[in-house]
Amino acid sequence: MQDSILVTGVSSGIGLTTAAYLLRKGFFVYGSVRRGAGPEQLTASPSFKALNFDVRDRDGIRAGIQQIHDDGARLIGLVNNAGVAISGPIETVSEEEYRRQFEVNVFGLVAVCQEALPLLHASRELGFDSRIVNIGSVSGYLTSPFTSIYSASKFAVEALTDGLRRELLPFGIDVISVAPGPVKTPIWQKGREQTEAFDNDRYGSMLEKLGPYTEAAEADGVEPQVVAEAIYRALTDEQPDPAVLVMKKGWMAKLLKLTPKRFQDKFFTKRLAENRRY
Amino acid sequence: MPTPAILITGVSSGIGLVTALDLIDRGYYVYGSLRGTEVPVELAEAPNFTPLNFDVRDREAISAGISRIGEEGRPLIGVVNNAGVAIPGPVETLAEEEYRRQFEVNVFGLIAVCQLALPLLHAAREEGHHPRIVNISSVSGSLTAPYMTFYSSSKFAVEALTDGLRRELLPFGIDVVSVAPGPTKTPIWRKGSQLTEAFEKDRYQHLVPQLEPYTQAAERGGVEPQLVADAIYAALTDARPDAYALIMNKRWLARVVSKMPKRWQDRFLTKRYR
Repeated sequence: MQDSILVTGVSSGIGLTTAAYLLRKGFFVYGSVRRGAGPEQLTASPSFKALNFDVRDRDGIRAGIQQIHDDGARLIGLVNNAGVAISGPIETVSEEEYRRQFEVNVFGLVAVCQEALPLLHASRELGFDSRIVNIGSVSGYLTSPFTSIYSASKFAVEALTDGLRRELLPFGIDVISVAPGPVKTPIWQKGREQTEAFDNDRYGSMLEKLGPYTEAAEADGVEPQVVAEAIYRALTDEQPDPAVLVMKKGWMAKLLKLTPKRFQDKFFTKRLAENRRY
Repeated sequence: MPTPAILITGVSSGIGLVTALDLIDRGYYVYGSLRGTEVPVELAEAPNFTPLNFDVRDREAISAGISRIGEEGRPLIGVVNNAGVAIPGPVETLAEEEYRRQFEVNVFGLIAVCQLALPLLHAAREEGHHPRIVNISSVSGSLTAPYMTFYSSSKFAVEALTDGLRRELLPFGIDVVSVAPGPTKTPIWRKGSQLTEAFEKDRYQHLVPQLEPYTQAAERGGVEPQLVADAIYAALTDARPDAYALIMNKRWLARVVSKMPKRWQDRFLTKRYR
């Protein structure tokens, strides 16, 4: 029997690339998509099955995981990838938007973990090494202005990763975060259309910077394949690194995190003046 | 000139109550939010105090409270986001209602208060004051102990919100800092220790007897809330306050642990459960 892995949010970006890579590596992949049959690149494989759920919908998640159970699959990995990135000043971002940021990135991740854990425990009891890989972000380490709410959700994911790993330690289920920096994916492209929060007296001047700011993030980004490989290692290495930062000059982000906050403030202000995030 | 005012959320007990009394003593006018209508005796008798009735989860009520501050005409020079809850329990078994409540109060409540108070803070700044927002975080905002993961997660989010908001408000001269207490002699965990339902599931039952001694030890080893109040006062008034102040016994240890490799932290933070 093939080992199975559930990846949430496989319609584009890191999720799609990761699902495709795990298929090539011989896994059976269950991939969640909010609607439709899933990308052709995946559905062409006999080892792929699309599950239709939005991570905000617990009943939907439950039905999807029930299907994995009914298939008699051996679930040895869960990759919590589904996520959104919402930009805007904290002062003006609408309640609906900041709630959506947490609904998907935090509550969605928690719900999928809770629903999938019985299957991960079952595989573990059969002697398999089961793992949860949460997709974090460099924004879970450092907070860049105007993506603070996104950052807050990814900081929350870092804590959830550490806490869940410590809680599952006695059972031997490992929990890891793979945190990409800028990646060549549409996540910020999707976010770029949300400019409402900037449309006011105090933050209007930011509006013209927003395009270049997010475009630069994509241009400097790593290929999603690099992230997919890090996820694969997190799922298969004997003793994986529990917190992997995948970005160009990742050492700089780690160093910056160790510097005093006021120094970090200056760094981000300077970056902002140059239309860059990191 | 009217007395400068400070808004503190959650003044019914613990750090909020002690901080409110402290700031009144130091000559500020304090608006303190409470969920119920019962005002602690010490505050009810204080001259420069007005209670505001709101739950930070209720945006309309916050808005009404802050309108009142605006109408009374005192410049609002500080907001202390103190209202918070601490919900223990394994991630695997904690009820959705409970983990949502953890974020509703500590994260969304804090954002709502910031958003609604900021117009008054901007107004004070335009009059030449140096307004500040002080977010009460926790040592759990930089280290995650098992079975307090949701609390920690909410406080990690508060740290990010603090840094982000400070960076966004830098051009305006409104400073935003976090004061992060470790264990404090307050009822926050006592309130939480009654929530044992999530532990009563098959896999985590063995932890139930450890919860009460743990809560007691945390309280015993805790700092007095007055120490936290002093740090909040410094955050509100120092010419250049620390952007992050960790207030606890042996804080060097927390600092060292937070910089150690994760697998090492895992061993350190799970020791007491083995």
